Amino acid sequence: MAKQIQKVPPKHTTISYARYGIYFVLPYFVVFGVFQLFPIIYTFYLTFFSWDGFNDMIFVGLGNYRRLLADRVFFTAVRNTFRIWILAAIPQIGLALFLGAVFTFRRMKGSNLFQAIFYLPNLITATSIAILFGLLLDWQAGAINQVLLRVGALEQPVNWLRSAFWTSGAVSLIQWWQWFGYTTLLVMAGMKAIPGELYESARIDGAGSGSMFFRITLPLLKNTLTYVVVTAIIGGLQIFDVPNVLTGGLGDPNRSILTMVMHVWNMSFRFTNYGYGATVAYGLFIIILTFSIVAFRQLQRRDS
Amino acid sequence: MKKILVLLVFLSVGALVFAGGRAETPAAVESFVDRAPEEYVGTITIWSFTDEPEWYIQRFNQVYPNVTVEFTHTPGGPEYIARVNAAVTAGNQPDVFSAEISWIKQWIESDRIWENLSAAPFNADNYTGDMIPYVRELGQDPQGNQRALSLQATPGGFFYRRSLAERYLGVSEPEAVAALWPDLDTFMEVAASVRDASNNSTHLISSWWDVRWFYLNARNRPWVVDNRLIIDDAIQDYITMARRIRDENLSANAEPGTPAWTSRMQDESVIGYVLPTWGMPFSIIPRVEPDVTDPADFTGNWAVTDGPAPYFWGGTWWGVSANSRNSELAWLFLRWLTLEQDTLRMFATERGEFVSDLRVIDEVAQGFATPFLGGQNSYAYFRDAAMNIDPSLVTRYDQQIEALFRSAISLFIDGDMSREAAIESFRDSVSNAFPHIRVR
Repeated sequence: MAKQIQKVPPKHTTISYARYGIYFVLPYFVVFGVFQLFPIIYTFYLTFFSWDGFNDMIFVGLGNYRRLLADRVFFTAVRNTFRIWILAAIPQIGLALFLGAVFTFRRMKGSNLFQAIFYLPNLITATSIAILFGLLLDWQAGAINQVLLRVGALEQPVNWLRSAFWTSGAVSLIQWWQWFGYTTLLVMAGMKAIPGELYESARIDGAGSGSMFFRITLPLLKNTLTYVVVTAIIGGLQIFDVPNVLTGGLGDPNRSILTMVMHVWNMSFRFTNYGYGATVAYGLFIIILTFSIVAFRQLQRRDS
Repeated sequence: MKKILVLLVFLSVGALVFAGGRAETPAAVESFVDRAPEEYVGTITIWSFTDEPEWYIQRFNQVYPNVTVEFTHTPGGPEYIARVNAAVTAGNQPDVFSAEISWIKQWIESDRIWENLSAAPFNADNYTGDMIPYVRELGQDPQGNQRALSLQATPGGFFYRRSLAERYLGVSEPEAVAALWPDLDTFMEVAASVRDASNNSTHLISSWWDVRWFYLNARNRPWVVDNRLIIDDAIQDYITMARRIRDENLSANAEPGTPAWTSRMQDESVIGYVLPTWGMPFSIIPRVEPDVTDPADFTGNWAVTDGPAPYFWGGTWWGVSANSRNSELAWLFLRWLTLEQDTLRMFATERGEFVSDLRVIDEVAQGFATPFLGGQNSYAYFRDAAMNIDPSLVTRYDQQIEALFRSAISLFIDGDMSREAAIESFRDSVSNAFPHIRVR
């Protein structure tokens, strides 16, 4: 009996996974649309109006943009923000590279513990840190002055928070201290992904650890570093909490610690001109976008 | 940035809802009919920037048990203002909400914020006859309609430690202390004598910023007149005096809002503080005798007297939302809170609040003794001060302009900038914040 093998056409059971994919990402897109995309578009719309928040909006055309271009305080805030950022970001990334290399390539006792300790400041709210530093740096009652007076290093207490140098330095220090642990973890992840054979062959060829770091580690860390630098630009140029708390919101003394986002906040909520505040926010957006693109291109080009 | 985005979302969602239209105002009635307390039934919402309403509501419900009051506390001036503004734009603001003196003008001048309480069915003017004139006036819009009411008045004084006054001034009773400084110049001479007598370890005042009220209230014109910034002669005098206070060590250099301000209050190195009525319960007691629960346990080492010039500072007003769907209950609450004499008497006797109703003040002032002030009758003292307050100096810009002033003039006080440059910097700051104000 000839067995007839019947070819059964496969049952049409294709499941459209794409549909489920959409379901899964939908909540994100809804939240993104309501809480980010819409405000971004609405903020742009606001830039053409003068508005105190509850009375009628007055259309001013490009008036807010003209005001922005002539706003010396805004440009002061831009300079301040970059100064604070550079003084925080360079040590932050530099130290992260160093610590990342030490933790990755040297066997060290307790390196996990150190990583956890270095990451800890990142878990504290920036505002709490700022309040803490405000207490430490207080002119008459601050711990730093008390200690320095006690040991005889000072004769008169120093009014740290009325000094542009010390206040700005303190803000950069806080930023650095808060973020270097996080950056170290990112850098370590990048370093661990570099194949060990490369180092092995380099060592056979007689390379020292210095040249291995500069010729193997750094070039192959390019993607990680691009991410680190671009996110540091995006996050760092939006610095707000710490300088706002330390300087009472106006960037004292003499607006020397006023940052771009503080200017956005002041214009919108302190001086209740939401239209102009929105325009400053767009100025900030363009600056951050430009620098992110420049940094991205530079870092990627170096590799090729 | 996130916070700003969230606030913008509030605003933008508000704008969307706004497009949907405002709530209809209830059909016009001549006046609300008084009913028995338990016959009032329903729910109202109230917002404020302090947590005091929790206590108000508890007491309100003892009288009106069937009215549910839902309270939302939003601390911080700008945050609270932004939230209310967003709700107003959306047409869903709470039934009753408060404003501090720093921004009340802005809200009162708009008919979108609060109901006109002078009109029917509220007819508030029938009830405000005994309100301290300046309190009533600050709650009125430019047309003279009552938009907001306050349960309190906030005249200022000089709160001092009796023991330190006795040691350095030779007297400790309020009248005798006030007699030492008939004007600002003699006040500073006393400050110098305290500095010398204590070898610079104790000071009459805490900082140059503490004494600003004496000068601000001595101005002839407010900060802004017809969209023009006014730097009054009193302000120039203040700048001179402020620098002198710093240069000659006439204060403890502990500015309000700094940790030093609190620690100087605790270590007893400052004789007195320039604070109004609310300064005692909010600023002094929580710092110097925070654990006292029974008023009889206060040491009674403090007293209040006249500073070298009269002033007032602060104050919270309340209004019924312009689109409240429960305006009858909202008005019931507001009237109970700010106009009922029984309530105000309770505020005065139980909380030491200096209330706004003259009949209650006169009644309470008879034989009133403040335990914290060693039995002094602070009510009688503040009553006279409150009647002399001139509210015409208040503008909607005061808080912002004074913050910019402090920031700029500090540069001169610290010696980092010349007087002229600091004043120019102040003008620039005002112009930057409010471009429509001419500053020169």
